[in-house]
Amino acid sequence: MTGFLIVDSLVAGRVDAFVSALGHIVLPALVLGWFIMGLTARTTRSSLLEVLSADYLRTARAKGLGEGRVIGLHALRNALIPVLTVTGLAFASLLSGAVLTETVFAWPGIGRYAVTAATRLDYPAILGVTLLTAVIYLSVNFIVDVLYSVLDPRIRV
Amino acid sequence: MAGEARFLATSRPLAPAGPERRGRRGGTALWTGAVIVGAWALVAVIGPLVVPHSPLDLDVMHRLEPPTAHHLFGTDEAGRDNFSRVIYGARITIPVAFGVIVVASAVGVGVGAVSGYAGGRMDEVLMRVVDVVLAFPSIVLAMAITAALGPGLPHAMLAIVLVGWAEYSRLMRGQILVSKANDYVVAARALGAPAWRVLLRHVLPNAFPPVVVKGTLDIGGAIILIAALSFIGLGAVPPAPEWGAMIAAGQSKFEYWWVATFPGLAILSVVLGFNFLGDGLQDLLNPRLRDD
Repeated sequence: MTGFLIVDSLVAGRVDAFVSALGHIVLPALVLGWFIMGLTARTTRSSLLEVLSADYLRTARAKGLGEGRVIGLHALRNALIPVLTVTGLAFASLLSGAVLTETVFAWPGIGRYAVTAATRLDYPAILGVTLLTAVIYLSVNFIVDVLYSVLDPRIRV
Repeated sequence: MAGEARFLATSRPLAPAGPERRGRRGGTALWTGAVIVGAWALVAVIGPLVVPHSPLDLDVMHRLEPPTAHHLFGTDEAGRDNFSRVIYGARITIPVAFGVIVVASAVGVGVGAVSGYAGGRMDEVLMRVVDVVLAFPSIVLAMAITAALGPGLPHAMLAIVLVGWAEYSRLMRGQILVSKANDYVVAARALGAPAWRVLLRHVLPNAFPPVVVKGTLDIGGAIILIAALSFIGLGAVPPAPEWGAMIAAGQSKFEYWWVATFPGLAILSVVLGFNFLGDGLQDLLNPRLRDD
């Protein structure tokens, strides 16, 4: 129906097929998620370190707030902008095809399409994938820009 | 900058745990990275003197043999010694990645410096070009460029340079904009120094540390890109002992795990080394994070 095995198997009420579909997605998802987890953690760390010496954190501590509240609410929220940028770009790169992961796991997505096109020197296909990728990247970037002002009302779009 | 440093100095006692731990970690990372990268550089240089076999000699009677004392990492599908091939791979990958990053950062720094210092229309035009390059994920654009030029290591290198320079010009432009406003730059200009002299002697040296850090971190990224392009079949051509190509040759042979595992571990350790080194340099060179 939708072509997504995970959805279709549930619609058809086939639990065994659903489990099998999940099993096939676990390893590629782990590979991709692992990288993005590390990326997000590093970005959060460096961004938080920049924020930690800010005046408003001193104020928060001076008000007698607990350390958990100071870090979790005041610091983390202000450190979230670069994290949003990085996760947005990571998401865009997944949408435009995880080139290597899809090739290794024989996952018939845009990434693998791009690889087969490139190895067969199929120029129109390469051009199409590249342009589509740029469109996805720019769209996600735009959405991220809009989200900035949601996250931090001081930023106006 | 000076005001900021003073502010940090007064704010230190309020957050004692953070900066101290960071300083120590930076030191460890720097040394770990330096040791790993140094070891690999040594392997790349003296490799031919120590390898037990030729990386290219075929021996079909002993193909796909598991690791033994004779063949430390086993043999591949043509009976070539995997250990020697991994060692020789360092001689391809490390100089190539280093060269690519040197060229890309030089181009990027040049463009960024001109853009930031000149400002106005020049800045506008150059930054829009940068925007176009940055609108693509690096692997996809590198793939497209390599495919368009034709597969091969030189074209892959050119592609990575064409993809990589843009981020450096962004970084450099930002640095220039900050240091352009410094008193000593204004003083140099007031003394009548020509623009190129102000740029080269006064602005660039102070804008450089972040470029060194980014360059070190990016060598790891370049190694992965080269391996990725070779894995797909667009980089190094098959008989060459390139790590990505070796993984591609071994990835479908699950029962002969050693063919792909050892080049993979080689990539892992080199990239990890450069990442540690870059992180350590960052902690060392970034005055805002430095612990003193």
